[in-house]
Formats: sequence, C-alpha cells, structure tokens
Amino acid sequence: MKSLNLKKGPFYLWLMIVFICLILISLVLVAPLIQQRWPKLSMAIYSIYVPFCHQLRDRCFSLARGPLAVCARCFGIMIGFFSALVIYPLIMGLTCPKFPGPSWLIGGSLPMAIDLAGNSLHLWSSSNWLRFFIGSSWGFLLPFYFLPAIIILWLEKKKNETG
Amino acid sequence: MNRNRIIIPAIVGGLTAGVLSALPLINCLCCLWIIAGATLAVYLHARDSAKPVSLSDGLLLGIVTGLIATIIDFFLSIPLQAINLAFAQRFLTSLAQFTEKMPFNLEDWLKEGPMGRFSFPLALFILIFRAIIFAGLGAIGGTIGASLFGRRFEKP
Repeated sequence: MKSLNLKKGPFYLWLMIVFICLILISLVLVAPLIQQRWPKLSMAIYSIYVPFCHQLRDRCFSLARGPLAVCARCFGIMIGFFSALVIYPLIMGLTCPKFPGPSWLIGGSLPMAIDLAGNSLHLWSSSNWLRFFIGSSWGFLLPFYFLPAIIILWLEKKKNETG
Repeated sequence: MNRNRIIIPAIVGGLTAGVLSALPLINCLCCLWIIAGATLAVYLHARDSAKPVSLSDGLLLGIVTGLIATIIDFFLSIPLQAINLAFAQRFLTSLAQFTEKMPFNLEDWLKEGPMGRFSFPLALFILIFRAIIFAGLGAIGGTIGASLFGRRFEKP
C-alpha cells in the first residue's frame, strides 16, 4: 500500500501542477475574450500579470481584437513550460527523478539571453513569433529541473513521515 | 536544510525580485526578475552553507523568496501607482490636444487607478493568483540556482 502511495503521490503532484498551469494559460487567453462583456473581470485578469510582464500591446498577440494578458515571449515561456510538463512523465517517468546538468540550462538560455540583449540594445527588433519561439524553447527546459525537485521534496517528506 | 538560515537569503532575493518587478520601465524583462531573485537567494544560501544545496532545498527557498516578493511588490505598487498615474495623466493631457475623442473610460480609470475599480473579492483574487505565480516562478528560480550553485561552494 505504501509503495502504491509513493507511485501515486508524484502523479497527483504532476496532475496538480498541470492543472494550475492550464488555469494560468487559460486566464491569459480569456482576458481579451471577455473584455466587452465583463470589463472589470477582464481588467482584473490583466492586473494579475502586471508584475510579471510589461504587457506592451505591440509585443502581445491579439485575440478578439484585444491583446493577450502577457507578451509573446512570456506566452511562449508558458506554452513551452506546459508542453514539457505534459510530456515529462513519458520521457523521464515520475517515480525516480533525474535532472540534466547545469550546462543544458546555460546552453538553453543562450538564445533567450542573446535575443533579450539585442532587443534591449536596439541592435535588432525580433518579431513576436520569434520572441514566442525563443521563449517557448526556454520554457520547455524548465520542467526538467522544476519537476524532479518537487518529486524529490515530496519523497523526502514521505521518508521523514515514515521515519 | 536549516530553516533559520534561509530567511536572510530569501529576504534579499525577495526584496530584489519584488522591487525590480514593481518599478516601471525596469520591469520590462518579463518574469526573469523573480527567477533571478530566487537564484540569487540560493546563491547566497549556498555560499554560507557547509553542505551542498539540493534541488529540493532550492525549490523551498525559491518558494519562500517568491512569497516575500509578492508582499514587497504589493506594498511597493501602492506608492508607485500614484507615480504611474501622474505620468499617464500628463500623457493624456498632451494627447487631448491632438485628438477630439478620448478612449472609452480612460478618464475614470485615471481618476481611480486600476485597482480602485476592483471590489475586495476581485482584489483578493488578483493577489492570490499573483502569489501563486510569484511562488511558482520563485520555485523555478530556486531549482535553477540549486542546479548552478548547489555544489559550487561545497567544503571538503
């Protein structure tokens, strides 16, 4: 029974994180859709993302003639993170967490760092789709560090509880 | 992990992330300030710790950093909102000289501020979701920090 719990626990954790991510992505898409019908709620949703994103209109994708609640890069990070989260159990499994070394993270962050630096220094201006793809490739990396850490933490907690 | 020893790094990381996320113009680096703040917290913790910092330690430290950043961002946004609105009002006054029709509801919005129009439940809804995102991004930053600096300061 205990070993069954040890297998089920990480699965439920994973399911909960997928669910939270899905809600956060849905809110980004819902904000412009409900702008006409429920303007206060729409504004509240836009406000959620204020500390996390500049929300500049020309850097956001549009939906129903309104900008999404986050810019193309942030939306890319969210979509990349969510995609990797969904396929993670198929690639790595959930019972014995492993994570790639820091060189993967540093290498994977390079395109993002170069694009951010180039845009900030006005050397070039990337299109929204390029920002989205660079953001999503970086976001795709993150669950491979994030999820094993959560599973390890959960396993440690269970080990402490059982003594 | 010694829980008492994470407080100072978490406060430093949370303060960095909260301030940089709240400041206008500087917060243009997407969600990276929060991730950077949590990574900084893990770096500071790893530097002073005799044992290597594990991924799960980094995750916990990142979550605490994210929650501290939520509080700092919340309180900092109150005085900064006035500054932002003053800038926006000046901009609108100059815009009014060139256009006859002002955008819908914008004047009301400027009088009350973006949060002024929200009821208490809506403001609470915003704060809860912000805390979840701050904690999540902090957790990501924490694991990144543990991956980068977890073993760097390991003492023989």
